[in-house]
Amino acid sequence: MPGSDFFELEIRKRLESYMMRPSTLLWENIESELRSRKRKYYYFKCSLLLLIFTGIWFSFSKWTGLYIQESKLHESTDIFSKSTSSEQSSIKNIQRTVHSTDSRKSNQYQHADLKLLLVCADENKRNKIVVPSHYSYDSETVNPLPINLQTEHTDTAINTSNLFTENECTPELNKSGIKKRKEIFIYFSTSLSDRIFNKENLASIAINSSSGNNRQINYTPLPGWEIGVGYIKNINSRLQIRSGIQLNYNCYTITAAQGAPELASLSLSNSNRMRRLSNLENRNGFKNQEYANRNFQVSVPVGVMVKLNKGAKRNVVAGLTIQPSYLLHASAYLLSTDYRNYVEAPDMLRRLNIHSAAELLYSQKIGHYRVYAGPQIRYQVLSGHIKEYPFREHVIEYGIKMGITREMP
Amino acid sequence: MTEEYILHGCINQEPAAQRALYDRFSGKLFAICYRYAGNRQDAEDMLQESMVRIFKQIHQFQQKGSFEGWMKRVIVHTCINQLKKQKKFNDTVDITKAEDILSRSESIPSIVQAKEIMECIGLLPIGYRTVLNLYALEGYSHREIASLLEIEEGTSRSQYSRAKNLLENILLNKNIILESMQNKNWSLLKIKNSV
Repeated sequence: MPGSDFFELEIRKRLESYMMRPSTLLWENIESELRSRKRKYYYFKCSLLLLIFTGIWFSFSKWTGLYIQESKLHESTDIFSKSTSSEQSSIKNIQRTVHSTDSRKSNQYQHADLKLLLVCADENKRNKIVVPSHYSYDSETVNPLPINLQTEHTDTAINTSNLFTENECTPELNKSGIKKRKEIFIYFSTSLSDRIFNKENLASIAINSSSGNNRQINYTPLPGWEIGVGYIKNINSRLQIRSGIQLNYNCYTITAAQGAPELASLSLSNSNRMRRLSNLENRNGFKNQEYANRNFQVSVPVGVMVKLNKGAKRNVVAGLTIQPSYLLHASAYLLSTDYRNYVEAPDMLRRLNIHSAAELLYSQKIGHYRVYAGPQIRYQVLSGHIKEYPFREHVIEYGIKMGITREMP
Repeated sequence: MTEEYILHGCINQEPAAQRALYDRFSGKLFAICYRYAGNRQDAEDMLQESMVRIFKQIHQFQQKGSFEGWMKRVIVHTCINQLKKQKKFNDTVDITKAEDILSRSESIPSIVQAKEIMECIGLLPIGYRTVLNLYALEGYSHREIASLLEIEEGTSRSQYSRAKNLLENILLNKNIILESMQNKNWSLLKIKNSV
């Protein structure tokens, strides 16, 4: 064995049980470093999700087809330069006509329109024209613009009467005459989280439960938020279906006091997994502090929205969604089964859950957009904890929702 | 409160368990850090870094050997890394300066035997001190020390030999040991200056 001569053995013997006391501030430094690492990880996850979220939003907003056509154009040769001079002038004339026929939208028609026409030429589809995707037709004012072009350019090298048909310029109508419009929906809401707290199978535990479980604990709801992007499709004039993806954050604090570390049980079973060390006391102890229970979830809401009135511009909409959700990050202080301690045990939370939400929104149409605002309530259908934990907790969030939709062409 | 509960709690990142672990072992672990650092400030930095690493890597402990032993290994590696970062190993060891070290050692108050030895170890040049700690106290072989410190095995041996002689001289100079007892009867240490 190395270091086994007399000198080394003596030194080792005398020093192996020697202890020195570090300064009292050291633990605080270690604790704050551990927490800051957790926070960094949390912020990293949030940023990543936000990035994904933004990506989805942009990919939805650019799906119009215009960009697809543009990418095709980049791959193809420069058709415009290859076309004859009379064709080029004709195309330019078309573009100018588009500008002049609808001044309100003229600033939207730039090179993109020209590129679309070129793509048509590239694919030998001169009997068709792709209607510029952003030239959307209001459901109230159907006004197929290219009709004007048809009359103005029959004498040019490109016969514009062959470039499009009226059918292609007319919005798609279903049998009932209602356009099957699709909308992209982005929304945000702020909320307060309350909770319903009850117990199961605790009859055998000697506790004073006469005052009810919610009175055994002190907690304070804190503001949370929700942000989401979705897709709305009109089924008929009143009914819409909706889906998407959303992020939710909710929080409440519990009040507990520092105490001596002791074993606290989180279950009726005696498994080691359910017995944890705790230095947070529910009622006794000293130095009361607030500890935050946070939840950060991603969910996929699926539901319906019903227009409660017939107005075209202003509506009142009732919405109902079911939201399968996944818990991304959480901090959780759980009450021990004897109500004496709180234990930090985020691993006792259920990862997969189901939420439901109901909302009543006022909506107003502004140009291509429709804005929504109104109250919403969101309820956690399954308990937030795993089965082994005898308490059941259902979080309810009350909030105000704001959103904006834009029609997809 | 058993070590098993503390360990399990730390794996679950429970603050109470982390605190309990710290309270239980920080004294011993801090002493190890002090032996490597030679002063309280650096030792506290080392302990902080080590504890964070222990809490972060605790799930890697496979519960086969002693938990304390595992923590000590983490501490030793962290201390060595910190010393490497500070480039303190570049300090050249000049044996002619041993006289200075011996004269400085006289000013150290003698309180208890172990503490005196700790203080004397702290007087050794960093290279000597590290090799002495690793070989005599942690039980690493010269080959392991050479690999850990990125030095030759022969260097480790020579550094250890010099460190041992120097430490003996310091202890002798401080009257912690008597010259006649230096070789065989080291266990019969006489503390002349103890309180």
